[in-house]
Amino acid sequence: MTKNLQLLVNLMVGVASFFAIERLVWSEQPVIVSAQPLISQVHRVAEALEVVGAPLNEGEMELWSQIRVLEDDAEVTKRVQKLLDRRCLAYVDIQDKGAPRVAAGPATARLLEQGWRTFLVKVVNRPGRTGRLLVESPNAQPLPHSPADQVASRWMQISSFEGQPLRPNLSGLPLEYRIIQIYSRNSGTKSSVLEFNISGGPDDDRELIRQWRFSEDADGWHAMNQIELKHERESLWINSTGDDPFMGAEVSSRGGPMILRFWAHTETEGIGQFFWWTEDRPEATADRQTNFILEPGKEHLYEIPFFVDGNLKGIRLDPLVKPGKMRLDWVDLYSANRSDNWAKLPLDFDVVPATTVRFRIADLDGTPGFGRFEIRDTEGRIYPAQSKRLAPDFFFQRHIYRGDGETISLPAGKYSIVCSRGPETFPEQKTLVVTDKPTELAYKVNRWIDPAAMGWWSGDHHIHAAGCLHYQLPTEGVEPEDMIRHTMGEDLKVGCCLTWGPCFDYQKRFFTGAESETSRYPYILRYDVEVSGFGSHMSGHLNLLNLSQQIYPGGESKDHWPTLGLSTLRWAKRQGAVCGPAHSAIGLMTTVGRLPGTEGKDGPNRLPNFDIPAYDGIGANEFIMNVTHEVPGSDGSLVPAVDFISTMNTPRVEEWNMWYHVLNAGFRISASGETDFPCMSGERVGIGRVYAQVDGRLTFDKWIKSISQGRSYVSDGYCHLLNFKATAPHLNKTVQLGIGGSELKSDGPVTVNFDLTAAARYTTTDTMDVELIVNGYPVSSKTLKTDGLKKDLSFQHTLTESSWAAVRVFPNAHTNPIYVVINDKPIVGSVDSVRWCLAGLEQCWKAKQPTYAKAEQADARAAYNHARNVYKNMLNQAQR
Amino acid sequence: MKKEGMVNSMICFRNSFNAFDKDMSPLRNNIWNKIATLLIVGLVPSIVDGAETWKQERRELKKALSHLDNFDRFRNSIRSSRSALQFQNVVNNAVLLTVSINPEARVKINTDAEKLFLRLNETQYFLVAVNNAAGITATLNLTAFNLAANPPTPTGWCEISIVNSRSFTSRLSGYGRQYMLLSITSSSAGLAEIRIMGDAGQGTQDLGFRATADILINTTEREFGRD
Repeated sequence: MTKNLQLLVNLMVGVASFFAIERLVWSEQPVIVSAQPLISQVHRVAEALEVVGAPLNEGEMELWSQIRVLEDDAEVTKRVQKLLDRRCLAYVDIQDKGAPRVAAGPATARLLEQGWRTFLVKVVNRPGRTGRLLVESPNAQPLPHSPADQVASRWMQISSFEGQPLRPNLSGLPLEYRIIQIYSRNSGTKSSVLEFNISGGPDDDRELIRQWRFSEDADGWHAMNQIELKHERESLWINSTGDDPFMGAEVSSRGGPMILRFWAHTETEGIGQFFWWTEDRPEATADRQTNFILEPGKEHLYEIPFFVDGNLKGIRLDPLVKPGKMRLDWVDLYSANRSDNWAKLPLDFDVVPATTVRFRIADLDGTPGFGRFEIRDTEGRIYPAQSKRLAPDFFFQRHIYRGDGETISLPAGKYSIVCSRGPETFPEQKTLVVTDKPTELAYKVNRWIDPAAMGWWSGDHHIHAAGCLHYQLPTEGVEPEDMIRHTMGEDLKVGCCLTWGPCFDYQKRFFTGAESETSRYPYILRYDVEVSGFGSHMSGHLNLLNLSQQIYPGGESKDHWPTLGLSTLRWAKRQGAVCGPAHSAIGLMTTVGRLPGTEGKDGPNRLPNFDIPAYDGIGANEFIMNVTHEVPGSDGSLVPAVDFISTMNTPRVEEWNMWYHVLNAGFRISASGETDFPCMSGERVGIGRVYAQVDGRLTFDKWIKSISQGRSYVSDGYCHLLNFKATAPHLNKTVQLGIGGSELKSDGPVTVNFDLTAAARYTTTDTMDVELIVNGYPVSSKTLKTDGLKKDLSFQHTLTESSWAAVRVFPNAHTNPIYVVINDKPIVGSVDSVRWCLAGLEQCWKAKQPTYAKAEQADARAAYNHARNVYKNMLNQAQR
Repeated sequence: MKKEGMVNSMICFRNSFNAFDKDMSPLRNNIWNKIATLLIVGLVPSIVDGAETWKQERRELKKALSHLDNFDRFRNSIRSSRSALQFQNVVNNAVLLTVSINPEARVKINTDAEKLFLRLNETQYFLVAVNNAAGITATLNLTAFNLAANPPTPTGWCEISIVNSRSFTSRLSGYGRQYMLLSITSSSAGLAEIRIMGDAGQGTQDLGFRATADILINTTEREFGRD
C-alpha cells in the first residue's frame, strides 16, 4: 500500500468514526403521509424495481397487497416503512437548511464483483423540498485522469435510477424512496463514503443550469459564423465551413464556477474553443474563453470547467477551428459550486466475487444451440442487471440469449433459470448453484413441435435494429450480430430486419440485397426497408422485402421518397420486391359509420363486420386503393402492387376483417405474420410470425416466394395449421396450399375435402375451435386439444359458387386461402364486401388526400379513381 | 419546482381575456394570431371552409381560452416576447403535457409538472402540446388512473379529457405540431396522485412507462373572499 493510500485509508477510518456517532444519534421522528399519494408513490417504486430487475419478492408482494387496501394514513405510512426499509442502504432526513442528516439503512451492504446491485434510499422530507436527491462518492470518481494514488480507492460506480416510472425530482411528500445502483470493480471488503445532497435549495450546488436536447430542434443554439446547424435524429449536426466557425446560445444564471458537458463525435483533429459572456459585458472576449482537445474518431464526453465573473447571459461554442463536421448529442451546463451541504455516510461493503458460468446448449438432435434464459436469484433479482445492459442483451427484456459455449458472470448463490427456445419448445426451469469455482449450465432444447422438420419455416417479416425501445444513443441501434442472436434464441428461422426512420442513415449500411453475412443456417437475417417516418408513411407504412436497391431514386437517404405509397410500390415491385402494409389495424379501429343494409350480417367475433373504418392511422390504409392496382414486375409483366397484408401484431378483428373483405372482392392477397419488434412489442422477436413451406434447403428467396404465394400460415407460434390442402374426390384433384396459385377449378358445384394437420399448446385453455372459413364466415368447426399433439383434421364442404376457403383458430392462427373457382367465374365472396371496400376507399381518400405532396396530388387522384372504377365495375358485374 | 410555479402562474385565463379585441395593437394582434394559429391547427380543414367559419372558430377559441386560469400573467409574458424563441418558450411553459407520437404511431406522454393545484369541483383547463411524427388523424384519448387502487383503475374523483367542441378537437390534425385543451375536474380534496395514460386508438400506447405521466395534485376548496 502506498503512503498516500495509507493516509487516505486512515482519513476515511477517522471520518467513519465520526459518522458512527452521527449514526448513533439518528432518531427518526415519525412522519405521517396521506395514504393515496404514498401508495401511488410506492406503486411506482415497485414498478421501477421491476424495470431495473430487482422486483419485490413474493413475501414483499404479499405485504404490499395488504397495505394498499388500508385507508388510515398513519397505518399505511408505518407499514410502508416496514416493507421497504429493509432494502434501504441509507436513510436521508432532509432539513430546512443545510445538509441532510444521513444514517446507514438496514440493507446488507453486499455488492457484486463487476456487477450492479440495487438498493433503496429512504428520504424523510419534512420541509417538502422537490429538488433532486444527489448521491456521490469520492470512491466513484472516474479512473481516467485519476491521480495514481487514488486508483485503488476509486473502486465503485453509483447511479441513481430516475427514469420513468420515477421522476428525477423528489415529490415533496414527507416520505419517499429512491433507487440507487452500485457497481464494484473488485471483490473483497471495500470501504466507501457516500455523499448526499438535495438540489434546488438555497445555497445550492451542482445545480443543472440548462440542458439542451435535440429531439425537436436545435433547442436554442444558433449558427453565428462559418457554421451550418442541422437538427436530425435527435442530434445537432454541425458543419464547419471555415477556420472560425462558432455557434451560440442564450442562457441566464448567476455566476461562479461552472462546467459545460457535452457528448459529441467528430472525425476532425485539433482543438475547440468555448466562450461565455455576462450581463454587464454581453459579448465574447478573449479573456473569457477556454480550449478543449478534440477526440477524433470516437464519441466522447467533453467536460469544460470555467468560471463566470458576473451573471451569465450566453455561451459560444467553437467546435472546430477548421472546416469539418461534428455531431452533438446533448449539452448540459452545471454550476460547479460545491457547498458544505453534502452529508457523508461511511459504509463498508462486502463485495462477492463473480464466477464464470458457461452455457452448454444442445438442440434436440444434439447439435450446439442457442437459448433464451431468464436468470433470477433467490430474491427475484434479474441477472445481468437490466437497466445496465448493452447489446446483445437488451435492457427492455428480462431474459438474455446465449449460445453453446458462451458465458455469464454470476456471484456465488442459488439461481432459478427459465430456459427455452421460442414458442415451439417446452420452457424448463432449472436451479443453478454457483460457488467460487467456474461452473456450467446445461440445457437441452425440448420441443413439443418442429414445423421446420415438416418443411414449414418460421419467420417474422418485421423486426427492427433501431428505434422505439432500442436506444438511439450512444449507438444508433444495434448490429446484425445482435439481431441474429435474438432470432436464433427464439428459433425464428427468418428475420426481416427493416431499416426505417430512426437511425436510417446508420442502419442502411447493413443492407446488402441478400442474406446478411451474419446468417447461420438455417437462421437467416436479411435487411430491407419499412417506409415509416418518411415518404408515404402517413397513408400507411409499407414493408418492402427482398429489395435489390434500398433507396428510392433521387437521393441517398429517406427525405425524398414519394408521399403516395403506390409510387413506392411501383419502384419496389419493379425490382422484384415482396410488399405489404405494416401493423395493419392501425387506422382501422375507429369507425365513421356502417355500410347501409348490412345489419345482422356480421360474423362471429365480428368477422367479418361492416363498420367503415376512419382510415386515420398508419396501417393497411392506402392498402384499400393499392390492392386494385397491378404494376410492372421485375420482368415487366403486370403483377399485383401488394403481395400480402401483415397480421398477428395488431387487433385481430380489424386486421383480419380488412383481409376478408379484399379476398371477398376477389383480390388474392396473402397474410403474413409480423411483430414490429420492438415497437409493437419489445418482449421478443417472433411474437407474430408466419410459417412458410419451402421445398428442400431453406433460402430467403424460397421463403419469400412462399410468402408472396400464400404458401404459409400465420401464427403466434403456439398454434399450428400445417399442410392445408383441398381435395375434390369426384374430380380426382388435390390442391396444396400455395401450389398452382392455390386454385382448385371445377365446372360446377363441387364438394371439397379440406384437410390439415393441427397442433396447439396453451396452458390457459384445454381445447380450441378450428374453423373452416368460406368467404369470411365459419361454415364448420372441429375441436382441438391444446396438449401439443398433432392431429389430422378434415372438413367437407360443398361450394356452388367461386369462393375462397381457409382454416383459422381465432385469434391465434390462420392459414392462407385456397381458391375454388367454379365455371371460371371470379370470386366475389360478398357484394357487401365490395361495397365496404368502395366506402373505405372514399373514406381513405378523404383522410389521406392531405398527406400527399402537392406535386403528387394528380397521381394520387388518378390512383384512387382507378380503384374507384375497379370497385364500381365489380359491383356492376355482380349486380348483372 | 420550476414547473410547479409555472402551473400556478401561467395557466389561468380569466374573463379579462381580450385577445381578439379590435383595439389591440398590430404587434399584439400578430402575437395573438400566432397563438390562435398554434392552438387551432387541428381545425385547419374547417377554417378553410370560409371566413364565417373562421370567425366562429375564433369566438369559440376565445371562449375556450377564457377558461384557462391566471391568463393575465400568460398574456403579459406573451406581450414581452421579443423573439420567436421567447414566444415559443412562453407557450411551451404553458403546456402541462407533451404528447409525442412516433412514426410507428406509438403515443408517449411527458410532463415536467411536479404538482398541480386544483380547485374542488371546478373544471380547469390546460394546454397539451402534440408532436405527431406519424401524421395520424385519430382521436387522442387521455385517462387518469388511480395507482393506489389494486389494480389501478380510472379515477372516479379526477376526471380528465381532451376538450372536444366546436373550437377544440380531440382529433389529431395530422400536422407535426398541434395544441389541444385538457380539462381536469377533481372532486376530492387533498393530496393525491394520478397517472395519465394516453392513446390514439386501441393498442397505440408506447411501450413501458413512456405512455404515462404521473402527477401529484393538490385539490383545495375555494375560499370565497380570499381566492
